[in-house]
Amino acid sequence: MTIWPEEAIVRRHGETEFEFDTVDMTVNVGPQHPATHGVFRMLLTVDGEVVVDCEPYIGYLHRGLEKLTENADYRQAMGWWDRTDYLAGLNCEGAWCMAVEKLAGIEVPERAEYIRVIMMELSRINSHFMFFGAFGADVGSFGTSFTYAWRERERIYDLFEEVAGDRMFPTYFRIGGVTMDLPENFEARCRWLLGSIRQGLEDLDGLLTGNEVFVERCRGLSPVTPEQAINWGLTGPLLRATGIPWDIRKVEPYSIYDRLKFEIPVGTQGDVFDRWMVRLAEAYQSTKIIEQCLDEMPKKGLVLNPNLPKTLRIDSGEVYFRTEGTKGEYSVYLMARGGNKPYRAKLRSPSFCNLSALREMVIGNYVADAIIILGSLDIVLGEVDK
Amino acid sequence: MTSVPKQFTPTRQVPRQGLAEKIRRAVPNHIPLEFGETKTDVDVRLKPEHLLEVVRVLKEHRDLAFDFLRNMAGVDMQEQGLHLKIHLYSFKHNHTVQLTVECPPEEDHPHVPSLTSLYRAADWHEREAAEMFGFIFDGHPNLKNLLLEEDLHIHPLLKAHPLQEPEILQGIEDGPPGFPF
Amino acid sequence: MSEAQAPRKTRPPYVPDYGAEAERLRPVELPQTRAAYRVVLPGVVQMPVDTVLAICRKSSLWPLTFGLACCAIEMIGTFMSNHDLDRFGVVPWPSPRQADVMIVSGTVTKKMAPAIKLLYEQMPNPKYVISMGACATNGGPYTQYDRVLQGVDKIIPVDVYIPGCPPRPEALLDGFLKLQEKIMEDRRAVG
Repeated sequence: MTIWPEEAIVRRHGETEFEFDTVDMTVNVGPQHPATHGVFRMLLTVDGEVVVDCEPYIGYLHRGLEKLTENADYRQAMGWWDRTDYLAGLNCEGAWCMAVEKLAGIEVPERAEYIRVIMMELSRINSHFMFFGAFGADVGSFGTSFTYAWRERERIYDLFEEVAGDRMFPTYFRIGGVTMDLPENFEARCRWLLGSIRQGLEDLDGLLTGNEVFVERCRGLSPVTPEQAINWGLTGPLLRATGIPWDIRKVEPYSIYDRLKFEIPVGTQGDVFDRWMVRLAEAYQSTKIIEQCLDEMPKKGLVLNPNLPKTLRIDSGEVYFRTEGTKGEYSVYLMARGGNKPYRAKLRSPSFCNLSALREMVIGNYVADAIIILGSLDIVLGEVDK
Repeated sequence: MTSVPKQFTPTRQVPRQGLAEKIRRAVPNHIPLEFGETKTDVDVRLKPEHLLEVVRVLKEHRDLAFDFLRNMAGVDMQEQGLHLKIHLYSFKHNHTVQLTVECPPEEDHPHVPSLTSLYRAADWHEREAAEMFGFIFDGHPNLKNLLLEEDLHIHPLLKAHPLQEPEILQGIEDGPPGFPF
Repeated sequence: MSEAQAPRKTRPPYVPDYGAEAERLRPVELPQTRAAYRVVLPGVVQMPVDTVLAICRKSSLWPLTFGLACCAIEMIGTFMSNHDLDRFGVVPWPSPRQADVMIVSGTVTKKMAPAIKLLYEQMPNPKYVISMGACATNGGPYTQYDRVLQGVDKIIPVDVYIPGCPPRPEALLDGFLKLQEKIMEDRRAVG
């Protein structure tokens, strides 16, 4: 029997007819765990099954994005930036390229803008499908939701491979446009793919949304008010689930998003079920964005700015370029001070900021619900740990 | 949901005309501020001892209403000391401001007041800035290492901190890989 | 077929019509070798014990689900229906105590290294390690940052290295097949 020091023991009276003292137990949901999405560790202090305190530990994937970016050319750095949100690599590439273009004042041809938006929205759908799969696994449908989600993800990856060469991180975007033009059958392929994505969304919807177990587990779990969300720094689907219709593509539009018509799905209570529904609706809205782009895209045109210098040197300037990443506000703060390397590049990642609010959301719920809440935050550790 | 507007008017350029004047009028005159512009926002430069008061004014003033902390980034400006960039956003008026806290160059570990009493989101941003650059945030409840190991006291993002050499295995005689620009 | 004939119970055997290439393409009929014991006890296979053990080990490799970073997504993709790994007997298993092979997929940082070593030591013998991706091989694109461990083989012994950033699911399948070959080759050595 270990003798615990008196200060370490928190004595509580159990709420039964027998009055007895209990001791809080520490449960380590460690870095290797099937339910944490990546290498994330949290120390839960539990009283029975109820979580009393939660301390998250991150940094197990801290790979030095910002330090390495300071030591590489503007164009080389893109290779690290698209591995931050590794579920939606092209979205991050787009954010980096657009930030550097804003800093240097480089114009992007119109056809390239449309191609970029199509690729970025496909990445967003890709990331949301991973959420559907992983969240379904967290809630209880162990492998079924994963397999449903991966059917569409593999098809999107096939399209990326046809267009850009690689499945996950094609480095297809360049500062000033995209690398090469789309293949000839792209429009037909893309429309077929959109139909398949919509079918996949319906399948997942039918699998889980109406499921009684799913609704019972998720409805009313950790509701968040809008004031709390703003104070905690939440963005993205978590903020929209609380009821605030805030989407950077509408509020501070970049690229060609101000010409596209789409809606912002909004929840009511900010609980876990609303976050699921918001992401489902967002994936559907992304398909509409892609359709509009396919309709409105100029049929011919340059895809890369022809007047780019051989080495990009920027003398001075700062930019804080914000984009709507798949998980929230994915922003790049970039400072240049001469030379061909950025002086400071900071990633404001949505998962980092959303995860800092985990403690308040988890306290008072059961351990199994803590896993679901972590899943509903939809974090990706490459962003959190930079 | 008291102060949150239901509709946001999308604009191409976020309106920042007049923001610098509004801030100068709102902040008491004994606090020296310098204004500049980045490519996307208005930049306000100030000293660390005035930070808490200025941010409180920015948060509570009716015309400014900066209720959302977006980002906090430290920058190592070698001879000019350490700077801390803070980005704030207002949901009510849809504008963003960048604050630059200029810490004196002599101090290796400058003291900056913590914003956790005003914004809960500042918690992890300050922990990261502290371990990466060496800031000390006065008033932070839990200033431990976040991304690095708990007992490690290095500051990797300082310019003086070196990178590690890639391991050269046998067979590569010419040196480390990469194109020398 | 006329209705008056009795309905066929069996189909005639299918003999493909090779046309001009008939001599080259017709399958060769091998002579039936029947050893004495196979006539007496049909269905008995005679094989050395280490081969049997090696076949059992390679056909049922249970990997520890150890996804660290981006390579984990391709690893999950290899377990899924499109590039199915289940047909090789590979079942992802979360607990190290019952796992056979550890797929280190992703960048290993110095903060994560003690956990990896502990997990490796918790796995019972015989165990194998597949180092998937460039980051686990030698640090990958992040090798110059000082908090990154330059390769997981600095702390645990690795059997198969799979290059790529991230390697395609087919590359991971190839890695598993190479590991199976390695297990067959090493069959005399493993106890």
